[in-house]
Amino acid sequence: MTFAWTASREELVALLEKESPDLAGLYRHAIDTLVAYPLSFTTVLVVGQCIRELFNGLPRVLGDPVSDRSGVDRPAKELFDAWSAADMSFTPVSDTDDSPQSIPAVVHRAALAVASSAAAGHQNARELTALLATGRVANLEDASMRRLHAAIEFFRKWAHRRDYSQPDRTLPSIDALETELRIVEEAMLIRLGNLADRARAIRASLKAANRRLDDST
Amino acid sequence: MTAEWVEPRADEVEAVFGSLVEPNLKRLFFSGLENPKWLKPLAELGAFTAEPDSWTDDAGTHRVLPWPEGDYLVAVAADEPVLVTDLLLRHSESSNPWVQHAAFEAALRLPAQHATRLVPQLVAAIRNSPQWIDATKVVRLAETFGVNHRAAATKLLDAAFKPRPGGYEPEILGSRRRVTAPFDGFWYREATPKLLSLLTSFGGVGLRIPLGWLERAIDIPDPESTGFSSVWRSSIEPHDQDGMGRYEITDALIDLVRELAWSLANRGALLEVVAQLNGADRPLLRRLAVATTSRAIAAAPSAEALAVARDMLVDDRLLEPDARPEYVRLAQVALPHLAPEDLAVWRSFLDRGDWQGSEEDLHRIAAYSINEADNVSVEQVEAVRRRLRYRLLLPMQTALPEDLRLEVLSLRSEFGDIEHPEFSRYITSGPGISSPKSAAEMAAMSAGALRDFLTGWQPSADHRFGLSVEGLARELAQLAKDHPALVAELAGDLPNIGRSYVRSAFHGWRAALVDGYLPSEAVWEMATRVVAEPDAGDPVRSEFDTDDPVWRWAQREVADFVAAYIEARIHTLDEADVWKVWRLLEPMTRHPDPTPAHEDRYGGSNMDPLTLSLNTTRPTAIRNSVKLRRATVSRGIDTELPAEILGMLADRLENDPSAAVAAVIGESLGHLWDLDEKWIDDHGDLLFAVTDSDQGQRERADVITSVALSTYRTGGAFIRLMRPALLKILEPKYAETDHVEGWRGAQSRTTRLTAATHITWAVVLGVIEEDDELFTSLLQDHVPPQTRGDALGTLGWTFMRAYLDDEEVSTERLARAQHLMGSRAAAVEAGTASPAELKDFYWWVRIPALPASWSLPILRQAVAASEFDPRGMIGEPLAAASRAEPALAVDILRMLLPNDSHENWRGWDLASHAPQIIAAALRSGDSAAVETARSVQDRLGRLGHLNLLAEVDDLIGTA
Repeated sequence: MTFAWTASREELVALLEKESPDLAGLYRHAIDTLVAYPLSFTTVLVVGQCIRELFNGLPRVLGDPVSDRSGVDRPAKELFDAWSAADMSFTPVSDTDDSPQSIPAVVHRAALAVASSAAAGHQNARELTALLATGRVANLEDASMRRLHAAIEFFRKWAHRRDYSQPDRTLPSIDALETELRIVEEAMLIRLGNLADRARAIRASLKAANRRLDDST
Repeated sequence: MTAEWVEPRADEVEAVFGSLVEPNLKRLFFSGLENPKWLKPLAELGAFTAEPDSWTDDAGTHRVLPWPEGDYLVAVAADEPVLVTDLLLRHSESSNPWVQHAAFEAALRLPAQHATRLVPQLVAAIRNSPQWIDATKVVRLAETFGVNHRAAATKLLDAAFKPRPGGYEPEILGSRRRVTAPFDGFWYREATPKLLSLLTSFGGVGLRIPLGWLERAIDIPDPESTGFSSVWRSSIEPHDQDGMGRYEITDALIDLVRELAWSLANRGALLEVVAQLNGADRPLLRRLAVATTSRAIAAAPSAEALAVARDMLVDDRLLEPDARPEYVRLAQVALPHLAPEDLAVWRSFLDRGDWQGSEEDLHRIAAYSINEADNVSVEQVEAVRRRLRYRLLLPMQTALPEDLRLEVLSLRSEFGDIEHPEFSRYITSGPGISSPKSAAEMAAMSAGALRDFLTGWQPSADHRFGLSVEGLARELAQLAKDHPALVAELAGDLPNIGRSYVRSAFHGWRAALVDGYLPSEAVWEMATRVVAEPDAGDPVRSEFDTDDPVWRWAQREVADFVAAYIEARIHTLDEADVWKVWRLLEPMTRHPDPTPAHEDRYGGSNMDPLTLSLNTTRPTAIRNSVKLRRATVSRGIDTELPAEILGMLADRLENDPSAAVAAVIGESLGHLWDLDEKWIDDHGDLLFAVTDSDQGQRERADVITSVALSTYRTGGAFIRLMRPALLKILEPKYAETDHVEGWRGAQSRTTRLTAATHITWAVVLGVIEEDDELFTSLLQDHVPPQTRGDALGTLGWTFMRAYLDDEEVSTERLARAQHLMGSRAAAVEAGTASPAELKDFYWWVRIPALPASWSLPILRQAVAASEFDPRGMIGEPLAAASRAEPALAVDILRMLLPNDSHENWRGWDLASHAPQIIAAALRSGDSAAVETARSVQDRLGRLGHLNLLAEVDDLIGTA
């Protein structure tokens, strides 16, 4: 399987162009990269960065009520300060040592602040996904929304050369990449395009889903 | 054989599912997905875990979004029962009716062993959202559980059919507490008969289930805490008496228990059934046992059934009045089969008479019927005994031994016939209007016999809802119509016999006049005598079995009788006739009815003056006097009578405060103008004093003008007649005071609006021009633009209606109307008139003769106004116009689309025609039209009208 410019991708570029030539350029560059180059870490990294920037920018361009993203930098700095003040060791502990560790309350509070900020950041990211898809912060628990969010996160993670949570990550297959890409593309088409076209696409999907083994189509 | 479903690829499922973030697309997908092989991968993606959001709207109503995923679970329930059940069980705590509905529909498709796992949540669904569940489907589901899952079926049925105490509702006396159930009475009654087969299959245990429900209903006490149950049933077997629909739930339960008891008894379980029914020691259930036994004997008089009957026949509790229909039925079927010794036991029980009550009871009954408690004789008490015995034996006489049959015949000669003797209470469909003799029976009588009968007959005192004076009066009216001369022979006597009969005689004679009846001198003399009677007394009659309390109703019939006489004799009327009629009418033009108090009571919010005038005596007489005047003048009879009648009218106009009389004058105004313009001119100050500072004067003028404006059609003469009134109605001063409407009619239009309608029509007819003072007054700022909008809408409606009725429409009038409407639209466009003038323009769009190129631009102007409501009127014409004007039509459709899915889209009419309008625009080749159509499609999709989008695709061939 290889990537290609399809009619719906052309339509999406045109729709993005109407909203923001910069964002359209990011998307075009991502697809051009996939079409022109074989699958590699670099290719996916470039695509990931383009899609991440596209998704970061699109809700604001569409005028959605985007709230400030909760950052973990400041609480992390405070944790570092508390850790240092407590004169605690920076030497990594063994991966096999699961025994409970005793830490000063002030360090625990600082660590909790980091975790809370990270959780809020995660929630903000999911709200951003819902905003992108529907223009509203709603249906966050909807499974399709969660799946879309996973697709967006997929590209966000690949925007970095290294993912500390997955030090040994492997290159996704073309099929897997295509699936994630189709999900985010369809979300943008639903948001930016004409719903009559999307309904037609769903009816086509239904026809395919409801086929039986002797169907000639 | 149907081929296997194709197994989906994982990435296919993920890609499609990930794109269902838009709720409407999700609904489209899940409502169409049939392949059960998608279930597992979708479940793994968590597709069925979350429920849709709910929220509380501005009105405080809790709202929930649909759960389209549930549609798919229902669709594949039979193919994937385990997984579907597991997935639904995760929502057992759900309060979302869509989720509960899906669980219920899926259960109907699941094999029983899986569906039973869902019973607790189905029970909750029935309790929480019964309106979402079809009661007959509950029965169907219980049937699929069957005997093998009886406990589950019972739980389900208990949830659906166990009665509950409802709210209170007023009765004629006091109030009662309703017996309710999760389903309303109609559906309860529809569903319960369907339970019969299932419950029969449960055997004796099956009877306990509805019996428990019925006992529960019986135990719901009435609100007066009298200890009596709210359940009452006149006859256990189906009977007209039980068709009143007041006890839907309990009637349905009684019917179910009766049929189930019989079904089981018929299978050999009579003794068990009777034991169960009698076990609770409740009168209603004992009656059910008797009814079942009767059926068993009627089907096959077995020794077992007859033994049961033998005991029942000597059970004096079953001779209580309420149980009598069942007892009588049992006696009818059982007595002929009883062994002689059993019959003797029954005879002895009958003769002992304990069932009739104590001596004290009988004494009280005797005292009641003679109204003298202290002077009841032994003979009178014995007569009561005989009457009670007669009442018991009469309906069962065909089953009685010969000697008892003879006794019944003897008792009949003493007490006469008793209607419905087996019922303690019997309600006829028209309460209290039964007659002892029909018109046909009376027609066979001689005049003397008829007189004697009418004189002697009295309604029976112990039949509150039985034969009545009113019932006989109605038959007498029919007799007077069919045989007027026979009744006329009684003319000298009827006023002495009863006012009701006088009334009915004139009513019948009035109808006979149409068939050529010429009243005899005796009838005229009777009319004269009736008219002269004073109208004293309380006109309120509480019962139908008493005579009319006052003369006014008979007198009004006389007034209508003479009007019918004028009409019937219009071509032969002579001077003697008209004076004869006038002599009858004239006194009634001063009749006290209606009194001011009567008008205050009945003529306020519940009856307008014109309607009241039809039901009161003085206005009826005045109305018929005007008819007499017209007839006299049109016959060319040279007499002073017309002047005398005008004099009477002038007197009434000046001195009669009655609004009903004013309504009659308003109704007559056109006729008076035709014959005597000067009289109108002379009295114009009073007739049209709609801005007078005197409230009484103004209100009478209000009634006169409003009735005249509502009664007559627009025309040159009428506009001339009403011009002074019309101008006053359009003055600023008119709006400063409240006004009375003489006739509310069906449309409840105000006088000012009716005036505006006449004026616009006058322009269209060419009676006046647009520069006439009437029309320019209508355009003044102080006249609300809505009034002009209403009048213009009425104009459009009139033309539309004419085309709809295939009437010939004058092209000249249509052109004038079009010009008038166009000039108002131009004024709105120029900003010199309010858009409210276009608010009812939708009628104009439906006029087929007007081109879309003319009507659509105005319609677009109208739609742009915030107060425009198409009222379901423009979908069809807009679709028709879209062929000629696709861009305009689709643009109007765009403007009418709501802003979000929670807003009502102004009716189904527009939605159902939207596909044609959009398709016409897409096919037009007009880029602007195509762009608008595309944007409308998008909004339709986001509003959830995906079926309409599919229709568009079908129409343009891109499906």
